[in-house]
Amino acid sequence: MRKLHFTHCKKLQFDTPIVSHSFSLRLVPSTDSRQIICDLEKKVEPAEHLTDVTDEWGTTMCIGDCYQEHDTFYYSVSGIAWVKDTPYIEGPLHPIYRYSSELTHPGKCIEKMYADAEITADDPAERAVQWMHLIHDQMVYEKGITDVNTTAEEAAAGGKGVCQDFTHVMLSLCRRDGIPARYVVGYLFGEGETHAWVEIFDNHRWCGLDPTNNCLINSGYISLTNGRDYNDCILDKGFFRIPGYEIREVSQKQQVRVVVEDM
Amino acid sequence: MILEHLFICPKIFNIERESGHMQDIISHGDNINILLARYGVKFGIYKKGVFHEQLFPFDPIPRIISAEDFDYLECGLKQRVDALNLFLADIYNQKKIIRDGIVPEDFIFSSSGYLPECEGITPPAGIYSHISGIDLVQAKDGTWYVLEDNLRIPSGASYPLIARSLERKASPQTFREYHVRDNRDYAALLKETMDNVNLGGINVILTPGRYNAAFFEHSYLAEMTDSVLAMPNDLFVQDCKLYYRDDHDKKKRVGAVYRRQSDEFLDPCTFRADSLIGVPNLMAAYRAGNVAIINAPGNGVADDKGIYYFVPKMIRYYLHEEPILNNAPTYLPMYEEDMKFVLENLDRLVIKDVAEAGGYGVVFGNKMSEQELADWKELIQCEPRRFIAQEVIDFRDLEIMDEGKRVMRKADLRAFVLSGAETKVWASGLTRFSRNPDSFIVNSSQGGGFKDTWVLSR
Repeated sequence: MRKLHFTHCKKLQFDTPIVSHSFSLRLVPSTDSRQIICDLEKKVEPAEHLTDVTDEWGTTMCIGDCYQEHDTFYYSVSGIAWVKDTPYIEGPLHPIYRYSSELTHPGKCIEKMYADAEITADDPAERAVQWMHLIHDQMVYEKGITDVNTTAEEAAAGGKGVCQDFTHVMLSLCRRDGIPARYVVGYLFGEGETHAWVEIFDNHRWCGLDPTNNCLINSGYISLTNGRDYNDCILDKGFFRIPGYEIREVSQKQQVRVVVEDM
Repeated sequence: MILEHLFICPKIFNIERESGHMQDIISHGDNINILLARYGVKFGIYKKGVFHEQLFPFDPIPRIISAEDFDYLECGLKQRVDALNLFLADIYNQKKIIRDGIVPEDFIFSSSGYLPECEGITPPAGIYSHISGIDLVQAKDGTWYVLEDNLRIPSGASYPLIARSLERKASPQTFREYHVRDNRDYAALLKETMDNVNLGGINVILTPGRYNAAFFEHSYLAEMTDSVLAMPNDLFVQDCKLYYRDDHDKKKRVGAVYRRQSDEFLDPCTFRADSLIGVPNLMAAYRAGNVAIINAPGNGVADDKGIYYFVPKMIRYYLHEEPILNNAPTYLPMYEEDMKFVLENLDRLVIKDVAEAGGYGVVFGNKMSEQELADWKELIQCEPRRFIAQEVIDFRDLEIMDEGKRVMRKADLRAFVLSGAETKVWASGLTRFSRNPDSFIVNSSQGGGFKDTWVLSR
C-alpha cells in the first residue's frame, strides 16, 4: 500500500459582502476496499452549525451556515490515504448507473462515435478499456473550451475538453454499450486540482479507468465522491443573499489547491 | 323534467318537493361566483412564460354521488393508495417488485420522477403519499375508472370546501333537506395527517409564493389547519433541523412541512441549484429524520403515466387482493404486442406523454389527419417508452349551466385520500368539467370549471 498525504483547499472571494449563507460540502474521502483514510483535519471559515451528514451514496457531507456578513469563504481538508495499487473497488451496483443521466444523454455525435467504433472485446471490462483508448485518441485535452455545464454530447461534438468532459463522454458510451458506469471525483498524485475519472461495474466490482490519462487507476488516485455525472459530485454548494433589497449578480473568484505527496 | 341526475337515488328524494331547494342553489350560482372572485379564489397559469390569474368558474349544479357509490369508491381508493405507498417504500429501499419481475427496472430508473437522492430514506411512519389526488371518471354504464394518480402535490381540495360554505350561506335549507355528508372535515383530516408524522415542532405550509397557480389554496389551508404559511425565505436549516423564523425574528422548530413546490425546487443543495424557492439543506434535515416532508420527495416515480399501468399489479403484489377500482384499458408500446395494437388502432385511442401533466401532452387519435396519424406512429416507434395509449372512455356527461341554459359537458372527479394513522377518503372531491362541448380535457389549466361534489349519507 502506498501512503499519501493530501491537502485540498479552496478560497472563494466575493465582490460584495454576503449574508445568510448556507452551504453543503463534500470534502471527506471515505475508506473503502481500495483506500484507507485517516488523520483527517478539516477547516471551514467562517461557519456556524457545522454538521456532518451522509448522502444517499454514503459520502460524508459537511453542512452549515454563516449568517454574519462576510466576503470570503475558505475550506480545507487534509489527511492520510493508504491506497492499494489496484483499480478495483468492492461495492454493490445501484441500477441507476445503467441509465443515462442529465449530462450524459447520447445525441447524434455520441451515437455516431458508438456506431463507428470498432470495439472487439467481449468482456465488459475489456470493452471499457477499448472505449477509453478510443476517447483518448479522438479527443484533445484543452482547457477553456468547455465549462461545468457542458454535456457529453457537446464535448464529443467539439472534440475538446478537460477531465470532466472525457469522463462524461466515456460514461455516455459505456452506458450506451450496456456497461454500468459512474462518475468519480478525487485527487491524483501530481495534479494541482481535483480530477475526474470513470468507474465501470463488472464481475461484482467497480473498476476505475481514467480516460484523460488513458490508464487504469493506480495507487496515485484517491477517490472522494461518485455519482451519475458531474451534477451529483459537486464538491461545494452555497446559497446566500446580499444585505438589503438590491438585486444584483454576485461574482466570485476562486482559488483551489490540491497537493498529494508521498509520505 | 329537470334535475335528472337526482334520480340516482329515487327512493330518498321526492323530486317535486326537493327541486325547489335545488333551484335555490342554482339561482345563486352567479352570486357564488362573484363571492369566489371577491375572496380571491383563483388559480394562475403560465402562458408563453407570462403569468395570468384566472377565476376558476364555479357551476352551481352539484355532482351527486350516492352513498353506495361512495362506499365502493372509498374501499377502492384506500386500497389503491395503500398499495402505492407500499410501492414507494419498496422502490426507495429493497426494490423487491423489480427483482420479482412485476415492474421492469428501466421503467423506474429512467422515470424523471425517480430521485436517487431519496434512496434509503424511510419517511416518518413510512408514509410517502400523505395527500393523494386520484382522478376518476364514470363511464356511461356507471363504471368508475381511475385515470390518473397524483401523489406529488395534488391541488384543488380548497375549491369545493369554499364553494360549499358559500352554498350553505346562499341556501341553508337545501342542506337540511338533502342528506349531504359534511365536507368541512377536510381541515381536520389534513391536520391529523400532518400531526401524525410531525417530528416535534410546528406544522408549516410552504408556498413558493404569490405567483403560484394555487396560492389561494395554500393560504386557505394554512388558515383552516392552524398551520403557519411560510415563504421559502422564512425557513432555514440549522444543525440538521428545520426552523421557521417568525415576525419577531424568533426561531421555531418545524416538525412537518407541507410543501407546495415540486421536488426539483425543494432544496438547491440537493436538487436544482438555480431554485430560488427552496430551502438549502432541507433534504439533509429530512434524511436525518428531523422533519417530515408532505408529500415525500420522490413520489413522482409512482404517479408517472407509465407506472399507472402497473398499479393493479401492485395491488395484487403487495396486498394480495384483487383491485377494486378499474384502470382505463391501457397499452404500453414498449411491449411488442401492445405496440402492434396501438399502431393498428391509433385512430381510436388517446395518446399520453408520460412526462407531461395538467392535460398537456394528451392527443386523440380520432382528431388526427392521415398525415398526423402517420407522424405519430413514427414518433411512437422511435420513443416507445415516452407514451402510453388508452381506450377513450365515453364518460358520463354532467349538466352545467351555460348562460342560463342546461347543457351536458364532460367531467371528472378528483378524490382526495389522506394517509394518516389510517387511510381516509374525504367525502367530497373536486369535480372538474370542460366548458368546451367537444373537449375531454377538464384540467383547470386548460380553462375548465368546477362543481361541488355532494356525497349522500344515505
